[in-house]
Amino acid sequence: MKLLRLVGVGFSMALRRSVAFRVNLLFDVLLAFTGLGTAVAAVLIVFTRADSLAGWSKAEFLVLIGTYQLITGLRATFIDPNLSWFPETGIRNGKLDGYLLQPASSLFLASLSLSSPLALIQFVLGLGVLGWGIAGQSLSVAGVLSWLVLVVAGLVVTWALSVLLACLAFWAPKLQLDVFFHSAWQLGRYPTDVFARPIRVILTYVFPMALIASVPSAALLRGPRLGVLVGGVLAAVAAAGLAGLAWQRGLRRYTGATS
Amino acid sequence: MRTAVLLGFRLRQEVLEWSGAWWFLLTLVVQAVVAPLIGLFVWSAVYPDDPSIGRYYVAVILVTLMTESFEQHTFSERIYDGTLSHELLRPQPVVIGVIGMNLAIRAWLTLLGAPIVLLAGIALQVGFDWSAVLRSTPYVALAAVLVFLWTFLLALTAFWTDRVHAIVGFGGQLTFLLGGTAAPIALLPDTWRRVAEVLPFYGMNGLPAEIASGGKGSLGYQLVWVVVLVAVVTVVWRIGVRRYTAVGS
Amino acid sequence: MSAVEVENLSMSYRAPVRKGGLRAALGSLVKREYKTVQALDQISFTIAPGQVSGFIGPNGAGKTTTMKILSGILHPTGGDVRVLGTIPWQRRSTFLKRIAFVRGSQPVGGSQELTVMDSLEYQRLLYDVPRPTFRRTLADLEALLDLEPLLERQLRALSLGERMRVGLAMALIYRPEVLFLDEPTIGLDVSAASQIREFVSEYVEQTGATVLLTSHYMADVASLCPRLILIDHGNVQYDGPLAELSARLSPYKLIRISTQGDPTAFGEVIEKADGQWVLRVPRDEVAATTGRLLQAMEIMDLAVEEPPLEKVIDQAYREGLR
Repeated sequence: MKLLRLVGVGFSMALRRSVAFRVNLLFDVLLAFTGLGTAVAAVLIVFTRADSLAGWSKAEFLVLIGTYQLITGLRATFIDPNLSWFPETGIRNGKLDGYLLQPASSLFLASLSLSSPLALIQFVLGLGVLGWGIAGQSLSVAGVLSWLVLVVAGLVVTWALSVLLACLAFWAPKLQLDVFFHSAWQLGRYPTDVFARPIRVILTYVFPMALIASVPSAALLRGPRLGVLVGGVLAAVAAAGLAGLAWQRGLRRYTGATS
Repeated sequence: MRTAVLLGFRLRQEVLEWSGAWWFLLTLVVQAVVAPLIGLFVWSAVYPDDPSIGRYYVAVILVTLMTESFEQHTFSERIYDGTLSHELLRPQPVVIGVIGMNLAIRAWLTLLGAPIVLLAGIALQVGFDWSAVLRSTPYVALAAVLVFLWTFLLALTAFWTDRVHAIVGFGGQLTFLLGGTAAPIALLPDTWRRVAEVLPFYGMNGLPAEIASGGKGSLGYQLVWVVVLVAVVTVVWRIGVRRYTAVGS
Repeated sequence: MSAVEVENLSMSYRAPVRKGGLRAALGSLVKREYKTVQALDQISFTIAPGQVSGFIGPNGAGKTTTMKILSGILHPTGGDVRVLGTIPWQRRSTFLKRIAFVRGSQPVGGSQELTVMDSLEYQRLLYDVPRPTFRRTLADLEALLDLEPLLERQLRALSLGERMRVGLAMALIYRPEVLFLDEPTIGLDVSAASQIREFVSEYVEQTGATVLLTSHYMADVASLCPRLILIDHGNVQYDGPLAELSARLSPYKLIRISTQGDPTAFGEVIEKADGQWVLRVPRDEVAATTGRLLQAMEIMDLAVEEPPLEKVIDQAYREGLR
């Protein structure tokens, strides 16, 4: 409860600050538009040459891009300001020491306490594209519900992956995999059916980018499948558990409790 | 002549300096590869029986690796943290340092990435006509110059705004859409194809890749854009430095 | 009960050994060599509630490491530590709300975009400070630290001295009982540094807080700390009042006189200019020498001084205590 209030207060403070900088606001809005526009355009080009791609129609693709953008927006708002470039920003400049001194969970403080509200523009635009894709489709209530559950699961997995990546810094402080993570993230924008089998397997089970957009979109469009739903929730629980454990272990190492 | 020696020296220094960051360089390789890789998969799904798609995209990946530019990180940050002042005091053109680092990073990316890409190409049975690959060399060189000029031009906006990453990101989106990565530009709708053929982005990526996979094209189009961009960069650099030294930081 | 109890505290860590050259760099990827660094070697001390102690020692002596252990950031490899009766590295919320650790090198963490007031509000929530208490403390701090003009400024836009003041305000807004200050005046100009010192001593007076302070500026230590703990090479070299330390380190005092005569016979002359002389005299002979000087010559002015603390400490760092 207190943690939620902390996020809320931090968010509203950051929002007030960032709205004060009109030029930056304008830049961020523009870039969110062109970024999403580029992604949509790349797909629209494909659909000038074909009616479906790996079994997905144009409207379905828009649903997928919308979902992806939605989660990306939330990630950029609530997770990235905390965990991106963690070895540098978190450890080397002493931010983590500060968190350890504060009377709240260090994992919470390090992974969720800061936010950059302007990135929510991406989230809103994602909703727009999602609406564009959904228009004219017939959806079932069960489909919408399972989409919602899977999106939440996708968010949890996203958070957990970011934490796990940050935890690497405790063992290998020189390893800087942010760029890699961002690159792999781009693969989530396309249905996994597009990719060759080995990549598909990796994206589903190892580095579950499929959960970010492909899986929820499929559930929304083609109706829920119990197995997928359970799998998604389990993946979220397991990933979050793993992240918590890795953080605990990493912290023990950082504070010298193990050596 | 002296400039060439200075550049050579700087290049050597930078290549050595970056050798310690090979893990990071490897992640940059992945970053460079992802967008064309997606293009490869998408268009192979649309035209499963056309081997030229695979050939074209393997070439695009290589061209991307060889022409990557990060001036928004290497140069703009020097404006932001004020260390550009030190560079301005040294008796050599600032751009030598920028180019030296640029070439060093490209060399490492090519060294680390090209073998992987070529192996993948062979595994996917993408056949290249080696005379076409040889013929593409000048195109690749000009593409490298173009990408550098374009990125450097956008990086120079750091003299005026603190959102240089947004601006370079926007430039990257243009290159992605109109340069032949999102789709080979021959596959763009007619109007867009004609626009893309005139703009410089095609010369940065798609054109050399098309030559390498056996197509035809014009060096003159690239050269014109090199001249234009050099002129613009020079003017913007002068105005920017004047502003920087006037404001101080 | 003591506020801080440290017994046989030891801390060692393994640091990778790096040799120069490319081959060594490649080799270290496969197999790393380590050496064990003993940062702290069985140090013990206690600090009573309300006491202000100066923690001094050369760079790398282990001061910051000790502070990190005492505030719970680091886990020692040996020994017992109790701060306010609890083991710091368990980092219980109740414990963390009662201590503060402020570093002069990075006084304010958190989002640099926020204003000072926003950051203080955030602290209020984080540390569960009741609103009325918060308001009262804030009013006190505003007066003591001259915060008023800073409240609406962004953290990133503050100067070094302002950052330190804000850093202290952020730490003290929840009224910690134990305060660890790691070089609070580093990089500050003379007046900013003295402002910080005055503030710390007023806070201690008002709240009875326990303070452990490190500094390389002897002015900080001399004006704030009745007690000094000197550590070097991971060991406590001295623990006691400042005056005694300088007596032990320097068996001499300085006699400064103005005279037209020549006092060379009375002691070692270490300075002379325009009839101003400074003589170095063994401590136990000061009274006698002064008497003889006043009898023998026409003295216009006379003062007995301790040798400059900076010099004394420098000597201790270089040669150790005998």
